[in-house]
Amino acid sequence: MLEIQEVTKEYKPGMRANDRVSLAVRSGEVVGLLGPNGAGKTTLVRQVIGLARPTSGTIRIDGVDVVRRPDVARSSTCWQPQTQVPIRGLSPIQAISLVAELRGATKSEARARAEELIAKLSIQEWSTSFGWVLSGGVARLVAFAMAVAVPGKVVILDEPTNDVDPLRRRLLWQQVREIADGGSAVLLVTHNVLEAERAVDHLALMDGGRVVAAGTPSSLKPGKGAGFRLELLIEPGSTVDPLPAFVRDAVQAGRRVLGEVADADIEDAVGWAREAQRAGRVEEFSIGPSTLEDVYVRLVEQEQEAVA
Amino acid sequence: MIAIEPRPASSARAYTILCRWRVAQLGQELPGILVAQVLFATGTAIGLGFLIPDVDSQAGAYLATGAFLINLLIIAIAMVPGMMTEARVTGSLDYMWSLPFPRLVYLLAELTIWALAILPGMIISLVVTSIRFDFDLEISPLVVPAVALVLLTASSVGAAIGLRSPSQQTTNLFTNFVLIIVLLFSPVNFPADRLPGWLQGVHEVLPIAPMADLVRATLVGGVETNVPTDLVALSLWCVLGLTVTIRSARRTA
Repeated sequence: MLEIQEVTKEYKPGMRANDRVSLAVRSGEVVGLLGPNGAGKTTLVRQVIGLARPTSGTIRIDGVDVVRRPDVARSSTCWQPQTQVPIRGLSPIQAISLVAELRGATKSEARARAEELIAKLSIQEWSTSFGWVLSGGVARLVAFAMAVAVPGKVVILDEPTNDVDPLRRRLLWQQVREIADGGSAVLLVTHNVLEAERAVDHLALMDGGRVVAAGTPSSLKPGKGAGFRLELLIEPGSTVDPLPAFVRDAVQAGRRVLGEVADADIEDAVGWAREAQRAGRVEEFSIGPSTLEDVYVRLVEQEQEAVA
Repeated sequence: MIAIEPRPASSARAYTILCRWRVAQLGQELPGILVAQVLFATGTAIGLGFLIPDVDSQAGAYLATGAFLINLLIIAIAMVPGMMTEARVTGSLDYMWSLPFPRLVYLLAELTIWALAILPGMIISLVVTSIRFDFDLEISPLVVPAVALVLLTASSVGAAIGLRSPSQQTTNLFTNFVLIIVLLFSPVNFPADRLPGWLQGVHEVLPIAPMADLVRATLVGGVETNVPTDLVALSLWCVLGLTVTIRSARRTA
């Protein structure tokens, strides 16, 4: 398993990219690392795989201090970076097999595993096309397959579904689950909150270099009676200002208005929204339980207000 | 799921896998690189011949072996640093270095592929220029270790530059500077006594003169050189270059 304890990274004195981050990923578990751009997620990952050195704190894989032993970090961690991987000129089958061989497969094992992954991710069509003709999404799936060809104790995936179509995303998530079931500790870095909610066992939310919340997806969501989200799509040129008092913490982005409604006010809220729709001020509305994304947005906003 | 026991490949195996990786990547470009190398290596020597009227066979031998060295150095001092900087800036170096093999293995594999890519061109150019300038090739078996040492030394310096340079532009500027020094201000295409005294002194320290000497001594006969001294000087430079390169490669942010 992967244990990160009190890791701090200062690129310049006083500028902390990571501030006493602690996080554990057990074998067989998928942990989502969420957070806005610049939250310190990638910095943390780079320290785990030995591309950067923590200013203080420890990182252990199966008890081995990998800050001191970057070779152990490399041999036990498989990483899919957020950037493209160097496969220009290689076909997917070549790229996946080569990495599998570097991680211990024989030539024939590597080829069989590459073919298996290509089939499971449904990219057979491109299996022998060269790297420079692959679309962004297919290249991303190949990079994913390279990371999980021979999964190590730790597998780190940085935004694996970027540019990938919805059907293949599902295939990718199935593979992530298979890898975890095989005993790897999977750390999934993303800012796609909704996807993460479905794919992970635990979540850690980072902002400003720190872990600001952690737990299972449902434990992070507000409990019963904590309120519902009201979403309105305003008719062009119309307004819903002023909103009734029971709509709290409303924010408007373009034609979309998002607010919170208490349990007791739901009927009033539905009545008001239907009236507004009939009057032609609101095109669509929806009321539902708060999502993880709402929690995420609120936590990050609180954090940033606190900093300001 | 086909489960494979994770067990990093040995350094030797990683080296062959990485060579296959690079050959597969360069596969389609390789014929073009080969042709360009032949034209370039032959062209450098013959073109320099136009600068000097009445090239005799000794001057011709200088030009031909000088061109041979310059082509080695173009790989080592221009292409290697350029590729290193590009790989670093695009993040592909980070990716390669997250894989389980020593970084030196990666550098050696990279170097091997380039050496093999330029070799045919260099041999053809030697033959062509020996006919054009009418001198005899006297190829010693020492040419293999000599060329390998020259390439390794120069490439380790090139790789260190590429790894430390902040941008591709800085790298290009540096490599152009070095190539001009080698082409016009070093005892590569002409004997050292044509240079001013202070510059001869500088070349007592720099590795360029021993490189040129070694290449000449192992390719053409009748040239006065001091192979043992050259080998020692170059070996020292090689150790220095490799140390700096490995330190740069290990340097983690």
